[in-house]
Amino acid sequence: MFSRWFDTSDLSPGLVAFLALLAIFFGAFLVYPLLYVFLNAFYQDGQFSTTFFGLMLQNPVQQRALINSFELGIAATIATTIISLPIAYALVRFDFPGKGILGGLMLIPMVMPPFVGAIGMRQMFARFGSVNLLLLDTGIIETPIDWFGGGGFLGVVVLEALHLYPLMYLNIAAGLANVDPSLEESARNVGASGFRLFRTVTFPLMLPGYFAGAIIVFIWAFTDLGTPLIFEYREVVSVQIFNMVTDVHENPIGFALVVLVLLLTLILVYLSKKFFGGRRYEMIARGHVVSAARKATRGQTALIYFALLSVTAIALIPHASVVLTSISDRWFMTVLPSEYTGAYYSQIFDHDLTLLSIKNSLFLSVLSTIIDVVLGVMIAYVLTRRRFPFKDMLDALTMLPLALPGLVLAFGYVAGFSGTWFDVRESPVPLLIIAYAVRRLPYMVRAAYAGFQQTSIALEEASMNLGAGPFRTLWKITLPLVVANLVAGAILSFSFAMLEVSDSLILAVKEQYYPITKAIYALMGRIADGPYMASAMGMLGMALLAGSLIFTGKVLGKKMGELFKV
Amino acid sequence: MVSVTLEQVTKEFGEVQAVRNVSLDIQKGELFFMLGPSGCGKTTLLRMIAGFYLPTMGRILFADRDISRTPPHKRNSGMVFQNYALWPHMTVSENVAYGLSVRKVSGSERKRRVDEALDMVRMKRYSERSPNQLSGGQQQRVALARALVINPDVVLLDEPLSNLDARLRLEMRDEIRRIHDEIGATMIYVTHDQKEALSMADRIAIMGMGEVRQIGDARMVYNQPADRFVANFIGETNFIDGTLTEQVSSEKSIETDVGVLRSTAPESKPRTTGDEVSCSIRPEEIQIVDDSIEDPNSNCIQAHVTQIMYLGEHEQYTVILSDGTLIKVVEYSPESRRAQVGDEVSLRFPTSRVVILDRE
Repeated sequence: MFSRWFDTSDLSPGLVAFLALLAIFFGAFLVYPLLYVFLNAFYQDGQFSTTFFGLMLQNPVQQRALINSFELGIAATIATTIISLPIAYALVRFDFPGKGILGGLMLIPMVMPPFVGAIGMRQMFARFGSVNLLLLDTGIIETPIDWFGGGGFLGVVVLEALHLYPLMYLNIAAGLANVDPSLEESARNVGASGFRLFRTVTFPLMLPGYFAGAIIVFIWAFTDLGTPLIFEYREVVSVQIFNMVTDVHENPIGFALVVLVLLLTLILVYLSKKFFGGRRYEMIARGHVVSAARKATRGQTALIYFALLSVTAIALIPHASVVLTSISDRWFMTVLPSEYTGAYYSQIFDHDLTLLSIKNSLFLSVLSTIIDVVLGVMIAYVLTRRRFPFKDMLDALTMLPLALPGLVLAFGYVAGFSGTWFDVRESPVPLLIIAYAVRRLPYMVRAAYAGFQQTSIALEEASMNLGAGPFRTLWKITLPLVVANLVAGAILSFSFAMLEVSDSLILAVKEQYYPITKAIYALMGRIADGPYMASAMGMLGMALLAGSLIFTGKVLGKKMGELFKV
Repeated sequence: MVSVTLEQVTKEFGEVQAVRNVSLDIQKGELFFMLGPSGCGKTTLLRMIAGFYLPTMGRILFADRDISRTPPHKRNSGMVFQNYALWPHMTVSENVAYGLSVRKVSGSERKRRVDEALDMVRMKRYSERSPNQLSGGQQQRVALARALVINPDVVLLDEPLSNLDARLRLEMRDEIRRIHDEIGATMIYVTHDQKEALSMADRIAIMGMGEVRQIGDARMVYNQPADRFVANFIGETNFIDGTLTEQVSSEKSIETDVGVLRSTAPESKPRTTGDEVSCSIRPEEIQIVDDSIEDPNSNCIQAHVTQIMYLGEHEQYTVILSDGTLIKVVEYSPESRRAQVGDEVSLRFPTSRVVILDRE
């Protein structure tokens, strides 16, 4: 028989203990810091008040920061839509030679935190950077162009867009693949075609995927800290919050700003869930039954190649400039570096700050990954295999950090745990580990969840039937069957932790505890060899992330996109 | 090998009663079938015996041991799953050896028993293969060996042949029966395929709507169905409704819209004159004849032929009675075609084959 029923609940003492442990973990490190920020934003001397919000909105700097951040988020969303929508549509709906490789190219920009790219971009597009020098040399312009017009706004938008379009692409492609081709066929059947078909049928059907992508891009751009810092574009919400962390208890406006970001995030996530359904775990259910793709003509193929390769080439400019910076010995007032050297790569392993930061990052990331693997596997296991009360809540709590800006959580940690055991001014190590773990747990849970879901319960039942208890079954049967997913999830968690930006910038307040990202930021402030060494460090991070993304993509295949949905 | 006893077992899933008040006595060494349409509760019952579900009410005993609340891994049952559930990350022999290593059987003894089990299902030369290099039938054999190698108290088979093609299914039927006879295991076999059950079973429990409707051997459930559900589910049958008017010793008369029918078939329960009943007559018991000679051992009614279907080894006639009832008739000598569509014919069937059932 095919129907399978389950008892209404499988609570056992072990499960209860595990759920209690999770309640403590999430309670202390997710709910409490957020609650703390909320309370401090709304209570003044024990009274409910919105004074701080009033102060925040009256302050012209804060006003400008809010407007700038909104504009930044919206501009990045629009830019990524323009880049990704046509390409995703072409890649999902057309078959042509080399499609797989082109699909992979679309993901390349993800291998670099945008603020590392910013280092390279600054070099390229500075007043006397490569581009302006080239244009001046060839006589096209007379005076240098201010590429980052508006005090860096344009530069930040460009970098955010170039970094985030893959996320948009993955979400749109997943949304498109979920559109049943027969729905389009029936529309065509009644006479709709071309843009009309797209506007009236395809686009509305793929909206859930699009909005998931748009929201994540908006939140990411709105709250990104690293890029504006490098561009010294300080009038944005993220940088304002960053500056206020140090004196949280003297200046409560920081709380109000964080609450604003938090509310905005929650509202957006809530709206997308409410209106576009939570089909988060569905793995492109019908897409493969009927292939929607049709063969592209030669002209179309050429057009797709041209569009995609130009986008990729542009997206690679920051990477290329980081590479160049990292190997240039002298690069001043010339289009390309005048002398090259590999010395910075060896220097980062000699220099105290960089070497220590690499060690710190490794240590922090390994520990946070272990936490993620243990918790993630168990959470995914109980979510797929057990029935228990508050299951939806556990699911929601685990996934919340996907949408929650790192900035908000880090701010909550600094404020909420100051004066306690976990005070970052004593040692940021425990909170850094926990912050990394909480922020990357969703990836681990999703990777493991996908594995458990694909593994038939009958395989576990067969083991129990032959006399193996639950733990032996888990160890001998279930885990070996999902090991690829677990490795993929763990590697992804690890490499993202290594390159975590906002948590690291905010939490690591002492140089001896600097992780890689904070060390890069610190290096940028050093005049002489700073940018060169920062670039070399950035390259190291890029290589790490690229390797792990390629590996994860190989293991998870099409499901890769699912990892990055809100 | 043990006997298996179910005492008034009920299983509820929320509001739904999947299994209702089932009591069974399965003998030691018996090949026992649970047969029924999908959703009848047979798999739920089997999963309760395996321990994957706990009964809401009632008890399950292996021999005299109450195992109703025992977790599955402490029951010593060997289950063959519908989709085989072979572990893809282990070879054939590792799959089979698993239950033995759980039982801490030593290396050499383990190897001997794995070989023996694989030998029994004729899969010894595939022992180093991975399960996904095997065909469906071969996977089935390995699943069987894996369940048997631990010397289970009872072997549970959950629709084991439903994923095989028709020819392989026939072959595996014989194979499972042979293995059963060879080792004399108590086996409980769940299926919706009546041919499987009729051809293999020592006894069959027919299930419908979560209840056991009848228990008996193949001949009994076919020839003396307990109710209309059983008669209809096992084989095909025709129903003619009527009223019981006369009972003289073993002969009963039933008055129907198409005349009086007489029945001498054994009855499952006593009835009183005046009861509303259904007469069940199997299509193959009915003969189409031209004349209407009186015969004390046969019933004879008039009909019109409405359809003739040629099916190779037999022909199926659909005829209509004077009150509009459609009757199926199966004739096993297609070369001598007796009637044409539209012909007025007589139907003759032995009184001993008219089974009286409750109307419902």
